[in-house]
Amino acid sequence: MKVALVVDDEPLVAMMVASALDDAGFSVIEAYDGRHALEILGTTRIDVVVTDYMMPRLNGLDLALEIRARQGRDAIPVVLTSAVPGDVVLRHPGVFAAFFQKPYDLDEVTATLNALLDARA
Amino acid sequence: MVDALERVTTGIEGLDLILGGGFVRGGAYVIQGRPGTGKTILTNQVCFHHVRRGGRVLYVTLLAESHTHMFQNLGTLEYFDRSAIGDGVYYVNANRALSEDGLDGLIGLLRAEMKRQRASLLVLDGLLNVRETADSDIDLKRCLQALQGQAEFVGCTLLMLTSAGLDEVSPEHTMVDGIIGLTDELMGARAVRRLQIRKLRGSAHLRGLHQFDITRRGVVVFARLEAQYAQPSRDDAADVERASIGSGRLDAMLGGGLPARSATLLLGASGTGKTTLGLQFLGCSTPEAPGLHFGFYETPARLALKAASVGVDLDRLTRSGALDVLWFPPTENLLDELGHRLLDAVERRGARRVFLDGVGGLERAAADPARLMTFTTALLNELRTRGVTMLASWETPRLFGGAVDAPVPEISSIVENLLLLRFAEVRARVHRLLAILKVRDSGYDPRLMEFTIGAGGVEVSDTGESAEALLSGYANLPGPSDPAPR
Repeated sequence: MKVALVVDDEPLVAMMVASALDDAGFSVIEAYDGRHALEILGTTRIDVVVTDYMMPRLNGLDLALEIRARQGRDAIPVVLTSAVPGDVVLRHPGVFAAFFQKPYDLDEVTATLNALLDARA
Repeated sequence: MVDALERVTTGIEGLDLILGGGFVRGGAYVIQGRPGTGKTILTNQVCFHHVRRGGRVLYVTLLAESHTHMFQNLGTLEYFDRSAIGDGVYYVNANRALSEDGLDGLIGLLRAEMKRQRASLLVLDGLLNVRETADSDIDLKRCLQALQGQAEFVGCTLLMLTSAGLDEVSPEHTMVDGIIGLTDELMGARAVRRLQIRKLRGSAHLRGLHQFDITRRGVVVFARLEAQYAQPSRDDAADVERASIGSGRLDAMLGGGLPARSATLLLGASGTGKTTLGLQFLGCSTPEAPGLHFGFYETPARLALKAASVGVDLDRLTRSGALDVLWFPPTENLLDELGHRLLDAVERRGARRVFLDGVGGLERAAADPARLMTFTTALLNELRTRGVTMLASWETPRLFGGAVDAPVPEISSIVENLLLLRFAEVRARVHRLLAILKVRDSGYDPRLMEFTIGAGGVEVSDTGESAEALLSGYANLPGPSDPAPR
């Protein structure tokens, strides 16, 4: 089973995304900010990360950059979700595998994650 | 020597005025109001203004609406700038820290984030959740003290939002530097939003209730006019100049026109010619001494038509810069908004003559009718000191009859000049009669005059009718076959 790490400081949003991914057959772990996500990544096999942008302690961009720094070119895909337009994605090409502006269609997110993981298989 | 406190402006003109210049930098303030009163809209407006001025904002939510939902709602407002989110205004949710680690967890997170974001403005949206998490009032006080201390230390201004009612001994009330209360109350069938500074340390401010509205521009605050202009903003320049009312005969009756920088009330029933006389008054406007029509009942198009029928070309006047026409349908206006719009219009064009048509529009806008006299007093005082000669109409209820019903009897004490327009029945024909009841510091012709309205406007003729006949409302001429009414 593929393992998704959902990172969001808004508990309700994290729960909604986690439920949708769970329904789509993912095993889901939740983190409440970027630093918490790094702690989990240090101890648990994760296949894909779905992260919010604005969070306490470590934001989604810094989380993705840290994952790349740690894992190199074969780093696990990081999908960014945010309530604001994807300027941060445009300013950092190649850092994120996909971007979804909130509110988004959860089916689209799960389809994208499946496609990303299929491509890596 | 008095030290001036460094201010953080809100960007909301009326609120900055009420606050005495804005928030004090590094101060802690509570914005309190029941759900739906506009706390979030107001606070975000302050945030985006702060960013435009070069500041950085950390906006922390607890158990509030999701950020996505908040942005969707704010997206309908002109001040909302998505491009500023993330860099200028950074939104985080701290509910987990509060619910899992308690007040210490929240304090720690805010301390770290304030530093990380280099925030000069911190918003904590959900103070009620903090209160509910605290074990005691002392706990809550310690938490607030810690937050205030951190914010003050780095010069960060702290705004805390709560929907809880705050009594004067509550920790929130006693600890913070200021409290802004927002209300949205039904007054009859209409709802009126009002704001009150319930506490403010270190600043003179405008006390009492002030109206505000939420528009596409965001929150617009209208300082209570009589509070802002308790004293006129400039010195009165008393003089003996006269301003033509637009009718040579009436000017002569008035002793050479209306005293400049005075207020004149035109009392009369519907159809007696108040608006017509007002338009003639405005017909004397010039680009050098402009006029303003501030009306409620007739649209600008209908007004132009009426003016044309008495020889006043409103379009030409407005095109030449001699006149502004502002129309406010008498539906759900806010009294203070009207007052400020009038003063702003006078200031913008440098208006020297204003026709307010009519005072009943102000009366309808007054959610609290008891304010009308103090409001009008402040407004007229301010207009006088701005060099304005003011003519205002006020509709009296009776078409015919003996009594003169001034809608607010005390009104005659705050205007310098009173003119009465009346209908009178004379031999089965309706006549218009005019009487000057009062002119400031000046003699005037006390006779009753009949007047007509023709292509040249109001034309006054001496009919020789008696004052008694006019004020009785029955100007019937006694004669053998036409006895006077009893």
